[in-house]
Amino acid sequence: MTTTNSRDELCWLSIAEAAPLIESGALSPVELTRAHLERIERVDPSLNSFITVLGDEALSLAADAEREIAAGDYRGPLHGIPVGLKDLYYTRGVRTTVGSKILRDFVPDYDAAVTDRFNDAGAILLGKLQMHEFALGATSVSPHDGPARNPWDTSRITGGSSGGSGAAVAGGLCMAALGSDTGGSIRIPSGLCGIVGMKPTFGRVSRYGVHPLSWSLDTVGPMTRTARDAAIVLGALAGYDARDPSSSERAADVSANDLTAGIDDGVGGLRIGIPDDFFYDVIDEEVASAICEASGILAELGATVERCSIPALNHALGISSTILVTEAAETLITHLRERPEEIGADVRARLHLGAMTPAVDYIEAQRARAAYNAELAEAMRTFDLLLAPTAAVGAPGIEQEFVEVGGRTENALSLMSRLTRPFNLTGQPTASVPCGFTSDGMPIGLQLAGRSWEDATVLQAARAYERATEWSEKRPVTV
Amino acid sequence: MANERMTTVESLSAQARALGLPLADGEATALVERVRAGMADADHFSELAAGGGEPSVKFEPAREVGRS
Repeated sequence: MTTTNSRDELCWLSIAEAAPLIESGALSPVELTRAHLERIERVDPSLNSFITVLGDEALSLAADAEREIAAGDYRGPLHGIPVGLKDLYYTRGVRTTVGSKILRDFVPDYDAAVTDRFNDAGAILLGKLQMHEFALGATSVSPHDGPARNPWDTSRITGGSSGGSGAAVAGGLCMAALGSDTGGSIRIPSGLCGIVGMKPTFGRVSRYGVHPLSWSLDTVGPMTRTARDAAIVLGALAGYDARDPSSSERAADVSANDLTAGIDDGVGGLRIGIPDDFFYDVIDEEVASAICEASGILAELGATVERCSIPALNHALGISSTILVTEAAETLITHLRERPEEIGADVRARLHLGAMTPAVDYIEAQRARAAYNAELAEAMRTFDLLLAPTAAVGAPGIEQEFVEVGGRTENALSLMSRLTRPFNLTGQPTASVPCGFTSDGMPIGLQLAGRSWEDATVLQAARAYERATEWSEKRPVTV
Repeated sequence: MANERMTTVESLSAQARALGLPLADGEATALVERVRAGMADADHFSELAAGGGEPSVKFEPAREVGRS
């Protein structure tokens, strides 16, 4: 007989562990789904990670999966796996709030491409996850839904904008979630919550049916507890989609989307660059030390690790801020004109900034971006990967406005996306991987950025690192 | 000497009206500093856009990286 405790343990299986058990019939998708729903009911009042829970629907899908698998129709490693979607992915017949008050009752009549992909793979959708309003912020503290809370310390933020996804995966409430990343919104909550987040190459995963924020930066990707699981989920999502103008025909290569094939090949022979510029200008010493340790481990594993100088990185924040807020203002201008009082003050201020940005500055930013990308591309001719911290500090408190870093007082919110934005401009694949904890117990993440379309190399290095360390096996004690 | 870009509460408020964006009391005041900072950023990165040509990337052997 399955006890509540043993059922709860199911919630901590990785996808790679659960999938063969499901395929063989040793693990029931219904049992697995029920375990997650029970855990959501018990734990989510502390985490506030779900906006909508689809309990009955999930159990019905799980029963379907169980029947199909028993009949020999096993679809692959996501079949019967409970997942969550950030609440900006369109789900037919299920409300999609985008974390906003304005879209509180919006119910799409079609599915996003990635929702379809999850459905086709037989994944079980548990619900829709909390997020920063309109994805325009990096805290996931919402005036409409309350704050998503960090499973490692529920008085701290998760980071954002995919904060509910970070909390739910780290807290064992789903086995994988989708986030979206415009300035770091997959990697920031992954880093602050101690999980793996993967921003794939721009154009690899369709954005059809994803509520937009910034047309030239928005990227869809998975958040999981291991690099192998990220490879499994990304492989299921990737592919060309003519309905999305940013989708690349290169994504149509099915074999290139099998990201698990070489994932255990290690880092031997890979050349990893550590940029001196920018990333260490404002950083907590414990974070810098953890990154240094991680680079040492990768060197011990056989990678060639070298410092390098990429001066263009010093322009990353200015360029990305200008592009992001201006494109966001263009996307959301109707809401800003017609219902400004229903938009949170922080998001409204960013949208006003974008609306007031002169067109010449936006165009100049896109021109500068081309020069910036050329310089990063030059670096990537030498290096297979760049290594950098994900966030400059561990997760700040929910009400905390400022943090002390290196003897300076810094705005906590501005720090959140400081180190992730450089890799949004280039569209190159970038993962955040757990690499330690601060002395007060908050997770630290490292970024691995690869060449465009070499997502497999990023995940291969992430896997090699997590296999050599125990960070990804730690569980939060507060939940 | 080149003319400097000027942003004031009055100019922002007028721009907002032209865009059909209602600014609440105090919002224009708070916005001025952010817009000025954005323009300063643009002046800074415009050097990169204008530079073009050779990417200025340099490499050097690893130092103080790793355990060994």
